[in-house]
Amino acid sequence: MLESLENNELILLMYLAGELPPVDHLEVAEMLAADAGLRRELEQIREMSGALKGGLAALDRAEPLPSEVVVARRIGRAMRQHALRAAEAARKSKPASSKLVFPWWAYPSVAAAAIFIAFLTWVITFNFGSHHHRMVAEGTLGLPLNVIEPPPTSTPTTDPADVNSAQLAQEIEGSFGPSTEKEDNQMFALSEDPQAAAGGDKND
Amino acid sequence: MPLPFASQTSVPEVLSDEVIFQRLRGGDAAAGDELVRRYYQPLLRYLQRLTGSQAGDELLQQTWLSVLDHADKFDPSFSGGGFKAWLFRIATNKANDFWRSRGREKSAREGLRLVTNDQSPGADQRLEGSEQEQKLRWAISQLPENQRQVVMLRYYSELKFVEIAKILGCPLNTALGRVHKAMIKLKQLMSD
Repeated sequence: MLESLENNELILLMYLAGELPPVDHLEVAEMLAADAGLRRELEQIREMSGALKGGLAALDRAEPLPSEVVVARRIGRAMRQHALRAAEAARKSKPASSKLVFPWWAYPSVAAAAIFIAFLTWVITFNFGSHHHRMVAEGTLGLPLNVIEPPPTSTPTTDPADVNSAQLAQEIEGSFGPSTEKEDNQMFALSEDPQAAAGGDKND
Repeated sequence: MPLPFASQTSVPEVLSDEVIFQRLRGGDAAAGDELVRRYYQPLLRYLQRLTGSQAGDELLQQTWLSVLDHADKFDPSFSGGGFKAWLFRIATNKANDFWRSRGREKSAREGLRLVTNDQSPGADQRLEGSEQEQKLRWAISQLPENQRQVVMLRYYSELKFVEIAKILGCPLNTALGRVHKAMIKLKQLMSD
């Protein structure tokens, strides 16, 4: 501690008060034994300190205080009233605090969670969303492009089923060979009157 | 929660301040009375020397009401001085508030007037006091506020210098320096 004290006067004040650590106290005692100037300085401080204590004690004796009992009673009464007022104020303020359904820490926690969710939504919407659009535009997105059917264009597309039906019809027709007009008429008459068609053939 | 000042049990004097204060916090009125009685003289003297006898009386009551208000904040290990250091710290703050509210110059004049022309009980005795006592009162009133504060705190609280420095919120060197300067100034004023 001696190193932290700025000068001899402060060290001697602490020494005189007996507030130095034992090691430091011993060191100062050795210094005093070896230094007459330091001893004189100590005596001056001791004298001033003693005069101040003696003077204040004399003043206190000359200035008696009001009765201890009276003052203690007055202060005690004031303390009781003060404590009762404080208790009453606390009691009145209690219903207001009991309105809180959840513990106090729940409210800031919910607010923080709401802010976090809002932030997360913003990040997903603006950052990931724009990236998605960019990838579609560049064609680098791994998703199939025909997931959504494009609107019909002006050029009609040929249904493969229709193509097959036409080919089949031609093949069937081809298997019968080319028909003449007479055969066609006979077929027509036969379909209307089978007997006439047979006789007509004999009559001709 | 116990009712304030519900019980009226007597408090043995051998109990420490901290134990009694715990009882006071629990609502024991007798504990409060005991603490007030224990510190009545040193606390009132300290406040009177700083602010004058009338203001000191008022500040004493304010100090104890403040003790009640801040009872929950009391830390027994405060500055190593326990309840006494805490109590004197509150009293010191009250005195500082008083000085600030009144204005330093005005309070200095008022304090000097109260010290020299006090009409409270015992004033007659003071007027009849020796010339040396009157001179000392005047010399004390001439000290700068911070020097008077540390000298009175040391004398009336009997706390260690380290604890006083903590109460005043200043380094130990500063507190010791103020005491030393105050003693030199008082010696000069008394020898003039």
